[in-house]
Amino acid sequence: MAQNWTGKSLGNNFFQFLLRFFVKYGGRHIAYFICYFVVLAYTLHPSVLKKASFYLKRRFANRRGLSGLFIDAYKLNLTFAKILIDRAVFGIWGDIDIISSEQDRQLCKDLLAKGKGLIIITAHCGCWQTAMSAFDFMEGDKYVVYHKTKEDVDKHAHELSGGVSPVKFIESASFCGGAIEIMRALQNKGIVCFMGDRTYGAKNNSLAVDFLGAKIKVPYSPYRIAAAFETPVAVIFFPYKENGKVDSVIAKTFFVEDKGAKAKPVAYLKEAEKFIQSLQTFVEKYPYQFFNYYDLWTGDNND
Amino acid sequence: MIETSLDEVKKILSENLDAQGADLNSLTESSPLFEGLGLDSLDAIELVVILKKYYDITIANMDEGREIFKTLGSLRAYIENNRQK
Repeated sequence: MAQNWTGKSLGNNFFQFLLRFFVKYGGRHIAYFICYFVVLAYTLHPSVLKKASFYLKRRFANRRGLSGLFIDAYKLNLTFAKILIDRAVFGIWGDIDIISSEQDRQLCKDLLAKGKGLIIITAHCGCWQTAMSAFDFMEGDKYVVYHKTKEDVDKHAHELSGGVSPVKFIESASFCGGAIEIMRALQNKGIVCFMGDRTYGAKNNSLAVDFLGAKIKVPYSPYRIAAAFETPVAVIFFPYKENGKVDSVIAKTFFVEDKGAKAKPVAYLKEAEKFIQSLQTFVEKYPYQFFNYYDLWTGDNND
Repeated sequence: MIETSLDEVKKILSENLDAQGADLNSLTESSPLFEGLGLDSLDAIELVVILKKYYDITIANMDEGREIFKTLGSLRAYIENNRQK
């Protein structure tokens, strides 16, 4: 049975409390050690296994049997738990190491120098959330277009530290889909980050693209906004390396030709495909770092 | 202030938005913008783009946007008072 994205965190409030407690009083490695057992207990829960299975059955299409699925789900959930631990460590102790190449840093500077801001498109994979909060080689205000539901109990790093967030959040479900804030940010040469892999139910404003063998819906608005404001786009992922280390990898950069206001979303299919091809390459290299715990491949994606 | 007629605003909207069969001639200053023209959230992006492209207007924040995009008349009045070109 298909399952749509609900916004509900994988771990509940108690799990989040435990995580922060062990990080604060035991440190990163104690928290890592405990999470091996906590994640095992979680993964044994049928609903958690099911949520992980939608992606894993696509990524490991040739794998058969429940035991294989369980091991893959455990690895996936373990990576996710370690990322949450590192996010908590960053929030509480400020300890994280974002690694980027000189070439990528220069590329970002060159794109920003064009004076039209920068649109980053990333996905719910790797250590994106902490990395967006921590990377500082890009000058300019940083914004993340994001949808947080009441059931999402995950805390951002700044919420743990009680400090001011280094990024500003633009709620995608707000009036005009956040377009007013996005435009203001880009006009001020800001950096606006979109999650390119989730549509949050906005079916009409999405594009169907092939991902891991079948169609999924991805949002259209990042490409439309990039075209309208002549803003360069960088597809960036943040592969997780454990022990507070995160890579920052620019997979692609491009400009989007403005197809006009009346152009249908499909006019931007080529750009969405560039993103999804980069994402596919990412999950091939890092199979246990893709964190969409719902069925992206529901049957209504083929129109 | 640059005088801006409702007809001018309707013309630019009809040229740039998919108004889904709405009869533009029947729309007045008090017509709700989104319901009247059959617009959705995708068109909201286009509205923001139109204001920038045709009038060099950037809306300051969401609260202001809510007031501006209430009716055709509120949009026209805002354009008239804030357009740069």
